[in-house]
Amino acid sequence: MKDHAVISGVGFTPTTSPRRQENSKNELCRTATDRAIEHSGLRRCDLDAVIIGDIAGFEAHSVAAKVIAPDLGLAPFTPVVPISTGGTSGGQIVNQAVTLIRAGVATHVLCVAPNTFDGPVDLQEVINTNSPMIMEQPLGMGAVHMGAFFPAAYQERYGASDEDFDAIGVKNRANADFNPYAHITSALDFAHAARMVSTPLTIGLTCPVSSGAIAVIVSSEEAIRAESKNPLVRVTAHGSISDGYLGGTRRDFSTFEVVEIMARRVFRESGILEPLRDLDVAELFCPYAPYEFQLLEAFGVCGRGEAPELFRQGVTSFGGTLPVNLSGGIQCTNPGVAGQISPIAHVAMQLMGQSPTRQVKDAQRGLAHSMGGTFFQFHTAAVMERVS
Amino acid sequence: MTTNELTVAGSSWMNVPADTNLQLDELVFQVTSSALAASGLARHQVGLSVMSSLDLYDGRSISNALTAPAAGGYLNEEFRVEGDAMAGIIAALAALLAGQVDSAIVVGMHVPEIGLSDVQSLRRFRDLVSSYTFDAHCDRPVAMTSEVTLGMHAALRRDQGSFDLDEAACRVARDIAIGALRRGVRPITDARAVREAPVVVEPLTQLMLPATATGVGAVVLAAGALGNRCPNPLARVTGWGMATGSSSSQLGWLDDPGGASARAAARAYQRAGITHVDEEIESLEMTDLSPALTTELLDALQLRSLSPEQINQSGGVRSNFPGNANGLLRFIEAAENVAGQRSRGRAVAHAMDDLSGLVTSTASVLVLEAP
Repeated sequence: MKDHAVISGVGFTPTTSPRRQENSKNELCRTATDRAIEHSGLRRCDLDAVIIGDIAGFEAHSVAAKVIAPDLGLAPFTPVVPISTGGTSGGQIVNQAVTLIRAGVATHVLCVAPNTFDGPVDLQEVINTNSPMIMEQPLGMGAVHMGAFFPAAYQERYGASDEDFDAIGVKNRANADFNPYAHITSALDFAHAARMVSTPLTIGLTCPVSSGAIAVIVSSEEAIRAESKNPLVRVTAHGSISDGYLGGTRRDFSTFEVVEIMARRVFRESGILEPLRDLDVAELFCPYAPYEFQLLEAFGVCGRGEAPELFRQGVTSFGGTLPVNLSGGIQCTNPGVAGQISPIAHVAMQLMGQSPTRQVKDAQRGLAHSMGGTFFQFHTAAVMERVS
Repeated sequence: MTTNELTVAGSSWMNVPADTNLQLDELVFQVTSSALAASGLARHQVGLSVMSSLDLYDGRSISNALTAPAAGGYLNEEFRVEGDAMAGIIAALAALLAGQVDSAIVVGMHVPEIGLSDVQSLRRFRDLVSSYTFDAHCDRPVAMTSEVTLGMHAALRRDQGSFDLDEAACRVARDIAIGALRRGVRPITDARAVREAPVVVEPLTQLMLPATATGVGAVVLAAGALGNRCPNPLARVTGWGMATGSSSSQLGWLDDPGGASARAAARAYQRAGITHVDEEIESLEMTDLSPALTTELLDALQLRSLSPEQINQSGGVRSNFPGNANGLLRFIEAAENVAGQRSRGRAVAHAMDDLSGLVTSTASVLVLEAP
């Protein structure tokens, strides 16, 4: 039966550096799954399908789902769907679970977001293989260099200062102090944080390489309503978008134009007219802290170039009109696919009133975003709303 | 209900020649354009692009970054299924049924970028990728690959007396001969040549294993009235199911390799409202990765009663097996069957992913009807 899709369970594992991780990928995924199932009140045999994300080229296995799924304790012949879309795999697996529920072809779908970065000895070298081969790779450009294009263009166009960017980094690390699943917190040494990586990005503005897993269960609203002990959080809209492969198609690096296009679609579907007024909480995927300004503007929270002032007014901090990245965001915890699903997981927990971070009082509606790919080509978004 | 009708509006398939000058994204663009032209839909009418590919074959990480725009994903909804393309078709059908989009395009590609295109090089590379798909602690050290699982199964069935190599060689020769007249990549041969071909994994010879091939294909799917307005619909999809088989730590993959196909088929038939399978299905495109699997899979699909002429009219996987894109090719062949080119009734398309052979293989089954 076709039905609305709700987030019925969320399971986190603690995160750390891959070099300090004592559990295998399968063990982490099993733990996250166990916790999500327990949180939802469901049994394993209730699961109709499992969707597992990965970034194949970054991992020690081809199609990690093939190795992870057998250790999840699933019922025999449960369909397993591997989805791999780079930095948006985590967002996509929930999107596709929602689709299966809405289509009426599944009732409960488990989404598993593993730690992705534990395999490579030199992760940066592996990540750099996804940059275009014609221009960028021969020039020695890697992911961080491409990542720096955006805040550099933002500074050039709107005059944002290094101090504006640093303040975002400090805000998010302070948020992470309240998140028991965060990797980097305000304990990060200021001198270390100030080291330059690629202008204007410093270490303090750049995401770490983390290890941890997250699982989310998406259910049919009617099927879970009677037995759920959690408030129901409906996914009222979701979407994804791809830009062109080459950087030249971005046209303007001072903004994420494709996010503007995607935002119009998901806000139209979810009935959001004024994002700043209609949303209570947001988790935006910002591997580089300054992206928070650019994404706020792309999602229509404020006009272009206005986000730094919005931030200075405290609008996006805890206690503000629209708190952003109360988990500390990807800037503080980036375990790959698990990092990509974490915006959905944290927003869902906020709307359930069960946030492991600081709880936003009476949060009703939230936005989760993920992104990745060459020059941040891919983006996903999900709007969630508490319906009980 | 009309809004739930799912139409195969257009398709395109290309066997990629060894001397092609086209890059992967150019190949994808070509089949995407052809499928759209066949469907009568314009790119802006397509709401979703689903791809099926593997980074290791495509020679770069996040390879869908290169191919998504060429597959109709530019400024559009898109994602990639990392497995057989039939899983991508089922994901697209769900999006149509959910009402999220009115039309979708599914693109499958298997063009390994290894700089070599001879069959032996491609086979060796497929074996290497398959090895990387197995568990690193228990399976990889004992050299498990897709072909090894197929050999173990065939040897078991031979020892049990249910697999006759001579009979299998005749069937394989027939498949290859049929395929050679269509999209097959192997030249016509005879049973003796099949039997005497080099043994790859005892007891299977090279010609008994899937025909390693490179290919790119696309199908355009449309929902409800939009599908009805398409000028040259190939088929309607009325049922589908999917199931994943057991891991190497259980024996199911060897004892009952058709188990996942049986579950997937039961779900597909139920959705399609089929109660008498043997009477209501007239043709089958199946993925029997070795001739030792054929009978078991026919039982699993409840289609043992079909005559040889109704099974794999394309020549099947021993005629053309384009890896990840295989499910898309099987789907196109089945759709063409019901489009009236070769038969008029319902058809079943079946795929099993070959990433780790019979281990944790995901089986997909689709039921198609005349439009």
